[in-house]
Amino acid sequence: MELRLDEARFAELMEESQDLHSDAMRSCSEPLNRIVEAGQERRAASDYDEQLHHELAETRRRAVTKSLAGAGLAVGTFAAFVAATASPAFAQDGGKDIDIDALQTAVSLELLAVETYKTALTLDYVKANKTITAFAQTTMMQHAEHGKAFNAKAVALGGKEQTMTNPKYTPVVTGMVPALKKGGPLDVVKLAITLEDVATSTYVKNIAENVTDPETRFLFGTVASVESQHLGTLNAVKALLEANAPQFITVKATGGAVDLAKLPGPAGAAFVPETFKKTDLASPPEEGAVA
Amino acid sequence: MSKKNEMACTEAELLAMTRDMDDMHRATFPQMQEMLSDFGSSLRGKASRRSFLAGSGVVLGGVALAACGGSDDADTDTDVGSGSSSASADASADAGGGDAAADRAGLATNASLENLAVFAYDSALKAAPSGKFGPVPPAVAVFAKTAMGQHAEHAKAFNAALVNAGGKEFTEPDPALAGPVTEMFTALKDLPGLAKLALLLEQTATQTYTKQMGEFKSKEALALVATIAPVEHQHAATLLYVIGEYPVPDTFVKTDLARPSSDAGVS
Repeated sequence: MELRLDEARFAELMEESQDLHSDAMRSCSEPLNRIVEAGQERRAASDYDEQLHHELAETRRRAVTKSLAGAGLAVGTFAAFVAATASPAFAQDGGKDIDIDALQTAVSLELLAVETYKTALTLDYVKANKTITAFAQTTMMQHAEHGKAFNAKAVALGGKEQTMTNPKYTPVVTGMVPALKKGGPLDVVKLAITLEDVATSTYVKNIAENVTDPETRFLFGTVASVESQHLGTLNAVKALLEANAPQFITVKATGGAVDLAKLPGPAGAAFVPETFKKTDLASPPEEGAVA
Repeated sequence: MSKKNEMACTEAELLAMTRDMDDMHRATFPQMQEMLSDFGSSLRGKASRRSFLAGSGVVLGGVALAACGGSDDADTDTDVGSGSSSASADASADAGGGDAAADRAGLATNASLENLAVFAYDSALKAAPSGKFGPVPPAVAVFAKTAMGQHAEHAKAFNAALVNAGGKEFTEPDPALAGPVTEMFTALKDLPGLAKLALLLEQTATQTYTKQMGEFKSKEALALVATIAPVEHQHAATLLYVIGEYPVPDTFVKTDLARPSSDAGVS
């Protein structure tokens, strides 16, 4: 069963989360600058043929930048710049297919995460907790941006956009919705933990073993650690809920900074359960590839 | 249930949870050691005379010490001093050796960043009883001990990779950052200041490793930074929470604090 995106509701949620998300959006300029520089450096050090491709890529980059500026988007989106700085030379070699597959699978996971958080935001017990609501809204937005960036890179490498949610986990999530409606915060937090762990593990394994293009690896790197923060935060929330201590689920923006003096000691380690990120839950590159 | 009893229950449950997490900590490091057992074959096979040139005492200059912001050039070791041209030419002529040397330089720098983090957390834990930071809540102490232990494991992993690749362990803190960080630590007067310094170190590590994901050539080195960077970013999330901020403020990892691979001065 496919989960469909309710664009009107999504736009509404985007507006609601604007304040919390503003910092995150501003941060997009850093990785895009890095990708621009990486592409320029790599091509500057390569042979004539790659120089030619560099010129073509630069032409495309300038065209996209001009287009964005003309549309009034001074900063633009991370996805647009990823597309503008893709290496056409790389798209001709043997690593293309697995890299495109990995990117499309990543998009499928991001889209499923967006749908899952959107569903969570309709649950009364989520709406009742200001901090958890803010987390769900912000995280949903971040996953949407990740999906756009991965899709832009897949297209730049010669692949198609992925528009579907992950085929393996979508039925799992859909099947859990009735139980989530009858359950409590801990149920939806556990589901989100699983999805964030799958995404983090998948991207870590892609960097370590699967992806061949350095710029694509870097893109996975800029996203994997953010997913790991989602995962860490959810682990901490889960621990506090299980300990019947929801009063500590708070930040300045949603009700005041946590009272550290009263925070139970073991909670200090709740964000970081692994010393090295394990990849047992990693999805294979082809799992969500576009046929 | 009284408030006191509620908290006692909370402590008990969280302690149980921590025991589980300790088990996970112990479970993950052997996996990494196993992965590293074959490390080095690809790097050793690519050893070149450039690695000897670079390792023969070329002292790097131009590294900014005044601030923790990193230079944005992982290949700084080819751009300093009068010898830079020959080093650069060697790198071009022998890309395999250059790649191996660059990976080794990065691994040494990463070990140095981990050593610096261990030093900082250890110093904080030792200074805390004197009241330097005011009262230190138990959760903060637990975090500091946990993070310090994990950084120590990360340093071992990076150094194991270096040794397997034919290099030497790097056991000192990052030479470019040790001075400024020591000064900043000395000036600290409260817990928020300490948390912000720790946050800076965690962000520096995450960003350095993330940048290297687009630069490292060997799968083994890539596997290390890929599996460690997310953990450093979780440390950062914890510290943000400690100072009351939102724990996931960025949609993509930035790289403005990334250190150059030349930081440790090793090739």
